[in-house]
Amino acid sequence: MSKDKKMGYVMAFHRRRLMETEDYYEQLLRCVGDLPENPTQEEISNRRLLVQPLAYHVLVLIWASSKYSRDDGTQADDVTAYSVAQAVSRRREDHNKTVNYVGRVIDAAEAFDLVVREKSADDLPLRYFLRGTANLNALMTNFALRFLDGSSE
Amino acid sequence: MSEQITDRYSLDRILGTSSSSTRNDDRGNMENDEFEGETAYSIIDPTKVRELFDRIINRDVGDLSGGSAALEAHAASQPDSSVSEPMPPANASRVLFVYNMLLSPLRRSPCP
Repeated sequence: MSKDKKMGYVMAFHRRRLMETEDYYEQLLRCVGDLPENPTQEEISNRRLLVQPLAYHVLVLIWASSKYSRDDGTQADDVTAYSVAQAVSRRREDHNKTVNYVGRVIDAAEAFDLVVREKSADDLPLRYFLRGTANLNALMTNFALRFLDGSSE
Repeated sequence: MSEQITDRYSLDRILGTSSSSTRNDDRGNMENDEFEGETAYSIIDPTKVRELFDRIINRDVGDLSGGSAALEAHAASQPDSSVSEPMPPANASRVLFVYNMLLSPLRRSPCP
């Protein structure tokens, strides 16, 4: 492959990645709605938190475990904020920070009905399982299908 | 010749990202911003995220791991031309995208 051609592909690839990011941002804003006229700090923070790339990592894991991503429509593994954070934390020392971060992303997602917490049947240990909602499924599928269909080009 | 971005200030002006004034406006939330913007990037491991995703979906999504190989294959399938700006490799980048997002759950119809 010639150098020009290769660089063209590299450019095209990154342009594509930028378009994906842009499109995810648009889809997310469609889900969470515009800011009200006099937004509270919490409303601003929630939106700001959810548009971050790492928040996508948390949301996509919750969506993957939801019933919407299953052929048979059953809930996959029960995941909690703690289990997700523990699994994706880079270092053992970062567990608490990661649990904190994941918890905040879930709080923000819950505010926009993307995720709900479901209390476990057993009181001990008391756990809250994360359930992706239809809104989260719409966000993830619409975002992906726009690119798979080529309709965003 | 295009102007080169040489400093943080120029980049902030172009991207409209945080400046000192924006920072001051958000002073109440500064601690959180710092946590989200800097610390958070170092506490989550994307590889572990992908591995957990694989474990959760627990199904074969095909061999889509060859990102650069797919790009090469696409390039090889293109007719050789002297055009200096090649067409965007839509299929190849889709393969990469699908690999990142993982394809299989998308067969389900989107929710209303």
